[in-house]
Amino acid sequence: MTTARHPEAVWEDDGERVFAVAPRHGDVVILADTAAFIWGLLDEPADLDTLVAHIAEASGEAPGVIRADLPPFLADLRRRGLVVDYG
Amino acid sequence: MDIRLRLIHGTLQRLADRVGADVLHIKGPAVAPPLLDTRVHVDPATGAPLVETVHRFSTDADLLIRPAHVARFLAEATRNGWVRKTSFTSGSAFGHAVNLYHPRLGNADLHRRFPGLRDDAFDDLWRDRGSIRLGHVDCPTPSLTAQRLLLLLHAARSGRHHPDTRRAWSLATEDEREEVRRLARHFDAEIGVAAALDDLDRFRDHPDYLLWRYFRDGDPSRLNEWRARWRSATTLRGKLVVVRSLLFFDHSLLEAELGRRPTRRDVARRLGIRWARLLREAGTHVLRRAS
Repeated sequence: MTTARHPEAVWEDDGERVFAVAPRHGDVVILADTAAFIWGLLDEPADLDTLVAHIAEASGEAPGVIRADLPPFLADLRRRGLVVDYG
Repeated sequence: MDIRLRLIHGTLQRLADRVGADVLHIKGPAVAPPLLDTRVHVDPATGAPLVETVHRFSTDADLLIRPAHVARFLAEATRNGWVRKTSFTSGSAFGHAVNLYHPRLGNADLHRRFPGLRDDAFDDLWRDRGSIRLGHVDCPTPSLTAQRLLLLLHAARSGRHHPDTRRAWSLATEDEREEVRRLARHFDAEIGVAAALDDLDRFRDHPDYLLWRYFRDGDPSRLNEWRARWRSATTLRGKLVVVRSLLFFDHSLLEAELGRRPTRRDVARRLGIRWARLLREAGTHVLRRAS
Protein backbone atom coordinates (compact mmCIF):
# COMPACT_ATOMS: atom_id res chain seq x y z
CA MET A 1 0.00 0.00 0.00
CA THR A 2 1.19 3.52 -0.77
CA THR A 3 0.10 6.87 0.63
CA ALA A 4 0.02 10.30 -1.04
CA ARG A 5 -1.54 13.71 -0.63
CA HIS A 6 -5.27 13.70 -1.28
CA PRO A 7 -5.79 15.06 -4.82
CA GLU A 8 -8.24 17.61 -3.41
CA ALA A 9 -5.88 18.90 -0.69
CA VAL A 10 -5.30 22.65 -0.75
CA TRP A 11 -2.07 23.85 0.78
CA GLU A 12 0.44 26.65 1.11
CA ASP A 13 4.02 26.67 2.31
CA ASP A 14 5.56 29.76 3.91
CA GLY A 15 9.06 28.28 3.87
CA GLU A 16 8.86 27.03 7.45
CA ARG A 17 5.40 25.58 7.80
CA VAL A 18 2.78 23.96 5.61
CA PHE A 19 -0.88 25.03 5.93
CA ALA A 20 -3.19 22.37 4.55
CA VAL A 21 -6.96 22.17 4.12
CA ALA A 22 -9.29 19.46 2.90
CA PRO A 23 -12.22 21.27 1.22
CA ARG A 24 -14.69 18.79 2.73
CA HIS A 25 -13.50 19.50 6.29
CA GLY A 26 -12.33 23.12 6.23
CA ASP A 27 -9.87 22.68 9.12
CA VAL A 28 -6.52 24.36 8.55
CA VAL A 29 -3.82 21.91 9.63
CA ILE A 30 -0.39 23.42 10.31
CA LEU A 31 2.60 21.16 9.75
CA ALA A 32 6.09 22.14 10.88
CA ASP A 33 9.55 20.55 10.95
CA THR A 34 9.41 16.80 10.30
CA ALA A 35 5.66 16.92 9.60
CA ALA A 36 6.24 19.51 6.87
CA PHE A 37 9.08 17.38 5.49
CA ILE A 38 6.78 14.33 5.33
CA TRP A 39 4.16 16.42 3.54
CA GLY A 40 6.77 17.13 0.88
CA LEU A 41 7.47 13.41 0.51
CA LEU A 42 3.77 12.71 -0.08
CA ASP A 43 3.85 14.54 -3.41
CA GLU A 44 4.13 11.08 -5.00
CA PRO A 45 2.59 7.86 -3.62
CA ALA A 46 5.12 6.23 -1.29
CA ASP A 47 5.06 3.09 0.87
CA LEU A 48 5.97 3.04 4.55
CA ASP A 49 9.48 1.69 3.99
CA THR A 50 10.31 4.44 1.50
CA LEU A 51 8.97 7.15 3.78
CA VAL A 52 10.86 5.77 6.78
CA ALA A 53 14.10 5.62 4.80
CA HIS A 54 13.79 9.24 3.60
CA ILE A 55 12.89 10.57 7.05
CA ALA A 56 15.70 8.61 8.74
CA GLU A 57 18.21 9.96 6.24
CA ALA A 58 17.07 13.56 6.69
CA SER A 59 16.60 13.54 10.46
CA GLY A 60 19.16 11.02 11.71
CA GLU A 61 16.40 9.42 13.77
CA ALA A 62 16.41 5.64 14.21
CA PRO A 63 14.21 3.91 11.59
CA GLY A 64 12.50 1.86 14.30
CA VAL A 65 11.28 4.97 16.10
CA ILE A 66 10.05 6.50 12.84
CA ARG A 67 8.28 3.27 11.86
CA ALA A 68 6.37 3.39 15.16
CA ASP A 69 5.43 7.10 14.96
CA LEU A 70 4.61 7.45 11.28
CA PRO A 71 1.41 5.33 10.94
CA PRO A 72 -0.55 7.30 13.61
CA PHE A 73 0.54 10.56 11.98
CA LEU A 74 -0.59 9.39 8.54
CA ALA A 75 -3.82 8.08 10.05
CA ASP A 76 -4.50 11.55 11.47
CA LEU A 77 -3.92 13.18 8.07
CA ARG A 78 -6.13 10.52 6.47
CA ARG A 79 -8.91 11.26 8.97
CA ARG A 80 -8.65 14.95 8.11
CA GLY A 81 -8.97 14.17 4.41
CA LEU A 82 -5.44 15.31 3.58
CA VAL A 83 -3.89 12.01 2.46
CA VAL A 84 -5.21 8.97 0.66
CA ASP A 85 -4.02 5.35 0.35
CA TYR A 86 -3.53 3.52 -2.91
CA GLY A 87 -3.29 -0.23 -3.52
CA MET B 1 1.40 36.74 1.42
CA ASP B 2 -2.00 36.02 2.91
CA ILE B 3 -2.00 32.27 3.40
CA ARG B 4 -5.59 32.12 4.64
CA LEU B 5 -6.98 33.90 1.57
CA ARG B 6 -4.94 31.74 -0.78
CA LEU B 7 -6.36 28.65 0.95
CA ILE B 8 -9.90 30.00 0.58
CA HIS B 9 -9.41 30.62 -3.15
CA GLY B 10 -8.01 27.11 -3.61
CA THR B 11 -10.76 25.51 -1.54
CA LEU B 12 -13.55 27.28 -3.42
CA GLN B 13 -11.97 26.31 -6.74
CA ARG B 14 -12.01 22.65 -5.65
CA LEU B 15 -15.73 22.98 -4.88
CA ALA B 16 -16.32 24.64 -8.25
CA ASP B 17 -14.42 21.85 -10.02
CA ARG B 18 -16.56 19.20 -8.33
CA VAL B 19 -19.81 20.63 -9.70
CA GLY B 20 -18.47 21.98 -13.01
CA ALA B 21 -19.00 25.63 -12.09
CA ASP B 22 -17.02 28.25 -14.00
CA VAL B 23 -15.49 30.78 -11.60
CA LEU B 24 -12.88 33.48 -12.11
CA HIS B 25 -10.74 34.51 -9.15
CA ILE B 26 -10.46 38.26 -8.86
CA LYS B 27 -8.76 40.85 -6.63
CA GLY B 28 -6.60 40.05 -3.59
CA PRO B 29 -4.08 37.24 -4.11
CA ALA B 30 -5.55 36.48 -7.56
CA VAL B 31 -4.21 39.72 -9.02
CA ALA B 32 -1.44 39.15 -11.59
CA PRO B 33 2.09 40.09 -10.43
CA PRO B 34 2.49 42.91 -13.03
CA LEU B 35 -0.35 44.72 -11.26
CA LEU B 36 1.21 44.51 -7.81
CA ASP B 37 3.48 47.07 -6.18
CA THR B 38 7.12 46.25 -5.64
CA ARG B 39 9.51 47.39 -2.93
CA VAL B 40 13.28 47.46 -3.23
CA HIS B 41 15.40 46.73 -0.20
CA VAL B 42 19.03 45.86 0.37
CA ASP B 43 20.09 42.30 1.15
CA PRO B 44 21.92 42.67 4.51
CA ALA B 45 24.26 39.79 3.67
CA THR B 46 25.41 40.84 0.21
CA GLY B 47 24.41 44.50 -0.03
CA ALA B 48 22.65 43.75 -3.31
CA PRO B 49 19.27 45.37 -4.04
CA LEU B 50 16.33 42.96 -3.77
CA VAL B 51 12.97 43.56 -5.43
CA GLU B 52 10.09 42.32 -3.33
CA THR B 53 6.45 42.08 -4.43
CA VAL B 54 4.02 43.81 -2.08
CA HIS B 55 0.96 41.61 -1.82
CA ARG B 56 -2.47 43.21 -1.82
CA PHE B 57 -4.34 43.53 1.41
CA SER B 58 -7.74 41.91 1.33
CA THR B 59 -10.13 40.67 3.96
CA ASP B 60 -12.03 38.15 1.87
CA ALA B 61 -11.67 36.10 -1.29
CA ASP B 62 -13.53 37.38 -4.37
CA LEU B 63 -14.90 35.15 -7.10
CA LEU B 64 -16.87 35.98 -10.22
CA ILE B 65 -19.12 33.11 -11.24
CA ARG B 66 -20.96 32.28 -14.47
CA PRO B 67 -24.50 33.37 -13.51
CA ALA B 68 -26.04 30.09 -14.68
CA HIS B 69 -23.75 28.18 -12.28
CA VAL B 70 -24.62 30.11 -9.11
CA ALA B 71 -27.17 27.62 -7.75
CA ARG B 72 -25.02 24.50 -8.15
CA PHE B 73 -21.97 26.23 -6.66
CA LEU B 74 -23.88 27.59 -3.65
CA ALA B 75 -25.40 24.14 -3.04
CA GLU B 76 -21.94 22.55 -3.02
CA ALA B 77 -20.51 25.31 -0.81
CA THR B 78 -23.36 24.83 1.66
CA ARG B 79 -22.74 21.07 1.72
CA ASN B 80 -19.14 21.82 2.69
CA GLY B 81 -19.73 24.12 5.65
CA TRP B 82 -20.11 27.52 3.94
CA VAL B 83 -22.93 29.76 5.16
CA ARG B 84 -24.62 32.50 3.14
CA LYS B 85 -24.44 35.69 5.16
CA THR B 86 -26.34 37.84 2.65
CA SER B 87 -28.53 37.41 -0.37
CA PHE B 88 -27.66 38.95 -3.73
CA THR B 89 -30.25 41.70 -3.33
CA SER B 90 -29.15 42.66 0.19
CA GLY B 91 -25.42 42.38 -0.47
CA SER B 92 -24.96 45.80 -2.07
CA ALA B 93 -26.61 48.61 -4.01
CA PHE B 94 -25.55 46.84 -7.21
CA GLY B 95 -27.18 43.54 -6.16
CA HIS B 96 -24.16 41.73 -7.53
CA ALA B 97 -22.61 39.61 -4.77
CA VAL B 98 -23.42 37.26 -1.95
CA ASN B 99 -21.19 36.98 1.10
CA LEU B 100 -20.16 33.48 2.16
CA TYR B 101 -18.65 32.57 5.49
CA HIS B 102 -16.85 29.47 6.70
CA PRO B 103 -16.34 29.29 10.47
CA ARG B 104 -12.77 27.98 10.14
CA LEU B 105 -11.62 29.62 6.91
CA GLY B 106 -13.28 33.02 6.78
CA ASN B 107 -15.14 35.12 4.22
CA ALA B 108 -15.63 35.09 0.49
CA ASP B 109 -17.66 37.25 -1.89
CA LEU B 110 -19.32 35.45 -4.77
CA HIS B 111 -20.10 37.89 -7.59
CA ARG B 112 -22.69 36.91 -10.18
CA ARG B 113 -21.76 40.04 -12.12
CA PHE B 114 -19.22 42.78 -11.71
CA PRO B 115 -20.59 46.31 -11.16
CA GLY B 116 -19.82 48.41 -14.20
CA LEU B 117 -19.58 45.53 -16.66
CA ARG B 118 -22.38 44.42 -18.95
CA ASP B 119 -24.45 41.64 -17.36
CA ASP B 120 -23.37 39.15 -20.04
CA ALA B 121 -19.66 39.91 -19.66
CA PHE B 122 -18.75 36.56 -18.16
CA ASP B 123 -18.57 34.67 -21.47
CA ASP B 124 -15.92 36.99 -22.87
CA LEU B 125 -13.98 37.16 -19.60
CA TRP B 126 -13.99 33.36 -19.45
CA ARG B 127 -12.90 32.94 -23.07
CA ASP B 128 -9.81 35.14 -22.54
CA ARG B 129 -8.98 33.81 -19.06
CA GLY B 130 -5.57 33.15 -17.56
CA SER B 131 -4.68 31.17 -14.45
CA ILE B 132 -2.89 31.51 -11.13
CA ARG B 133 -1.88 28.89 -8.56
CA LEU B 134 -3.50 29.51 -5.17
CA GLY B 135 -3.23 26.84 -2.50
CA HIS B 136 -1.54 24.67 -5.16
CA VAL B 137 -4.78 24.74 -7.14
CA ASP B 138 -5.04 26.16 -10.67
CA CYS B 139 -7.48 29.04 -10.34
CA PRO B 140 -8.83 30.72 -13.51
CA THR B 141 -8.44 34.52 -13.61
CA PRO B 142 -9.49 37.22 -16.05
CA SER B 143 -6.89 38.27 -18.63
CA LEU B 144 -4.36 40.91 -17.58
CA THR B 145 -6.24 43.65 -19.45
CA ALA B 146 -9.55 42.54 -17.91
CA GLN B 147 -7.89 42.59 -14.48
CA ARG B 148 -6.84 46.20 -15.08
CA LEU B 149 -10.43 47.03 -15.99
CA LEU B 150 -11.88 45.23 -12.95
CA LEU B 151 -9.42 46.96 -10.62
CA LEU B 152 -10.39 50.35 -12.08
CA LEU B 153 -14.10 49.64 -11.68
CA HIS B 154 -13.53 48.47 -8.13
CA ALA B 155 -11.44 51.56 -7.38
CA ALA B 156 -14.27 53.73 -8.72
CA ARG B 157 -16.58 52.27 -6.08
CA SER B 158 -14.08 52.73 -3.27
CA GLY B 159 -13.70 56.51 -3.02
CA ARG B 160 -11.29 58.88 -4.71
CA HIS B 161 -7.57 58.20 -5.15
CA HIS B 162 -7.75 54.45 -4.61
CA PRO B 163 -4.25 52.87 -4.98
CA ASP B 164 -5.56 50.40 -7.59
CA THR B 165 -5.96 53.28 -10.04
CA ARG B 166 -2.23 53.88 -9.95
CA ARG B 167 -1.41 50.17 -10.32
CA ALA B 168 -3.92 49.49 -13.07
CA TRP B 169 -3.74 52.76 -14.99
CA SER B 170 -1.12 55.32 -14.00
CA LEU B 171 1.71 52.80 -14.28
CA ALA B 172 0.36 51.28 -17.52
CA THR B 173 1.87 52.03 -20.92
CA GLU B 174 -0.18 53.88 -23.53
CA ASP B 175 -0.73 50.58 -25.40
CA GLU B 176 -1.98 48.91 -22.22
CA ARG B 177 -4.33 51.82 -21.55
CA GLU B 178 -5.69 51.60 -25.09
CA GLU B 179 -6.42 47.90 -24.54
CA VAL B 180 -8.30 48.79 -21.34
CA ARG B 181 -10.27 51.51 -23.16
CA ARG B 182 -11.17 49.04 -25.93
CA LEU B 183 -12.33 46.44 -23.41
CA ALA B 184 -14.29 49.07 -21.47
CA ARG B 185 -16.12 50.04 -24.68
CA HIS B 186 -16.85 46.38 -25.38
CA PHE B 187 -18.32 45.86 -21.89
CA ASP B 188 -20.17 49.23 -21.73
CA ALA B 189 -17.88 50.04 -18.82
CA GLU B 190 -16.70 53.48 -19.89
CA ILE B 191 -18.63 55.31 -17.19
CA GLY B 192 -17.01 53.20 -14.45
CA VAL B 193 -13.55 53.82 -15.86
CA ALA B 194 -14.35 57.53 -16.05
CA ALA B 195 -15.36 57.45 -12.37
CA ALA B 196 -12.03 55.85 -11.48
CA LEU B 197 -10.10 58.42 -13.51
CA ASP B 198 -12.00 61.44 -12.14
CA ASP B 199 -13.66 62.09 -15.49
CA LEU B 200 -17.22 61.21 -14.49
CA ASP B 201 -18.85 64.49 -15.51
CA ARG B 202 -18.67 63.44 -19.15
CA PHE B 203 -21.49 61.02 -18.28
CA ARG B 204 -23.90 63.39 -16.49
CA ASP B 205 -26.87 62.13 -18.53
CA HIS B 206 -26.13 58.44 -17.98
CA PRO B 207 -28.66 56.58 -15.75
CA ASP B 208 -25.79 55.28 -13.59
CA TYR B 209 -24.14 58.69 -13.15
CA LEU B 210 -25.49 59.31 -9.64
CA LEU B 211 -24.67 55.79 -8.52
CA TRP B 212 -21.03 56.04 -9.61
CA ARG B 213 -20.76 59.53 -8.12
CA TYR B 214 -22.25 58.26 -4.86
CA PHE B 215 -19.63 55.52 -4.53
CA ARG B 216 -16.69 57.51 -5.92
CA ASP B 217 -17.33 60.29 -3.39
CA GLY B 218 -17.87 57.89 -0.49
CA ASP B 219 -21.15 59.74 0.13
CA PRO B 220 -22.56 58.71 3.55
CA SER B 221 -26.14 59.80 2.68
CA ARG B 222 -28.63 56.94 2.44
CA LEU B 223 -31.04 59.29 0.71
CA ASN B 224 -28.55 59.96 -2.06
CA GLU B 225 -27.96 56.22 -2.39
CA TRP B 226 -31.66 55.57 -2.90
CA ARG B 227 -31.96 58.46 -5.37
CA ALA B 228 -29.01 57.01 -7.29
CA ARG B 229 -30.45 53.49 -7.24
CA TRP B 230 -33.83 54.77 -8.42
CA ARG B 231 -32.29 56.67 -11.36
CA SER B 232 -30.08 53.74 -12.25
CA ALA B 233 -33.07 51.38 -12.52
CA THR B 234 -34.32 52.01 -16.05
CA THR B 235 -37.08 49.40 -16.19
CA LEU B 236 -40.31 49.05 -14.22
CA ARG B 237 -39.04 45.80 -12.75
CA GLY B 238 -35.79 47.47 -11.72
CA LYS B 239 -37.63 50.31 -10.03
CA LEU B 240 -39.87 47.83 -8.19
CA VAL B 241 -36.76 46.06 -6.87
CA VAL B 242 -35.48 49.40 -5.57
CA VAL B 243 -38.78 50.15 -3.85
CA ARG B 244 -38.93 46.66 -2.36
CA SER B 245 -35.43 46.91 -0.93
CA LEU B 246 -36.28 50.34 0.48
CA LEU B 247 -39.38 49.04 2.26
CA PHE B 248 -37.93 45.73 3.40
CA PHE B 249 -34.46 44.49 4.16
CA ASP B 250 -32.79 41.12 4.23
CA HIS B 251 -32.90 39.77 7.79
CA SER B 252 -29.75 37.76 7.18
CA LEU B 253 -27.72 40.98 7.34
CA LEU B 254 -29.14 41.78 10.76
CA GLU B 255 -28.61 38.18 11.84
CA ALA B 256 -24.94 38.39 10.84
CA GLU B 257 -24.59 41.64 12.76
CA LEU B 258 -26.33 40.38 15.91
CA GLY B 259 -24.83 36.89 15.81
CA ARG B 260 -28.30 35.38 16.37
CA ARG B 261 -31.65 35.14 14.65
CA PRO B 262 -33.33 38.58 14.93
CA THR B 263 -36.62 38.81 16.80
CA ARG B 264 -39.62 40.78 15.48
CA ARG B 265 -38.62 43.51 17.89
CA ASP B 266 -35.08 43.63 16.40
CA VAL B 267 -36.52 43.89 12.87
CA ALA B 268 -38.99 46.62 13.87
CA ARG B 269 -36.23 48.58 15.62
CA ARG B 270 -33.96 48.34 12.59
CA LEU B 271 -36.74 49.45 10.24
CA GLY B 272 -37.42 52.38 12.58
CA ILE B 273 -33.76 53.41 12.50
CA ARG B 274 -33.68 53.19 8.68
CA TRP B 275 -36.80 55.27 8.22
CA ALA B 276 -35.85 57.83 10.88
CA ARG B 277 -32.52 58.35 9.14
CA LEU B 278 -34.09 58.65 5.70
CA LEU B 279 -36.74 61.10 6.95
CA ARG B 280 -34.11 63.15 8.79
CA GLU B 281 -32.00 63.35 5.63
CA ALA B 282 -35.06 64.19 3.54
CA GLY B 283 -35.99 66.96 6.00
CA THR B 284 -32.49 68.41 5.88
CA HIS B 285 -32.60 68.24 2.09
CA VAL B 286 -35.95 70.10 1.94
CA LEU B 287 -34.76 72.78 4.39
CA ARG B 288 -31.54 73.27 2.42
CA ARG B 289 -33.50 73.72 -0.82
CA ALA B 290 -35.96 76.08 0.84
CA SER B 291 -33.20 78.30 2.15
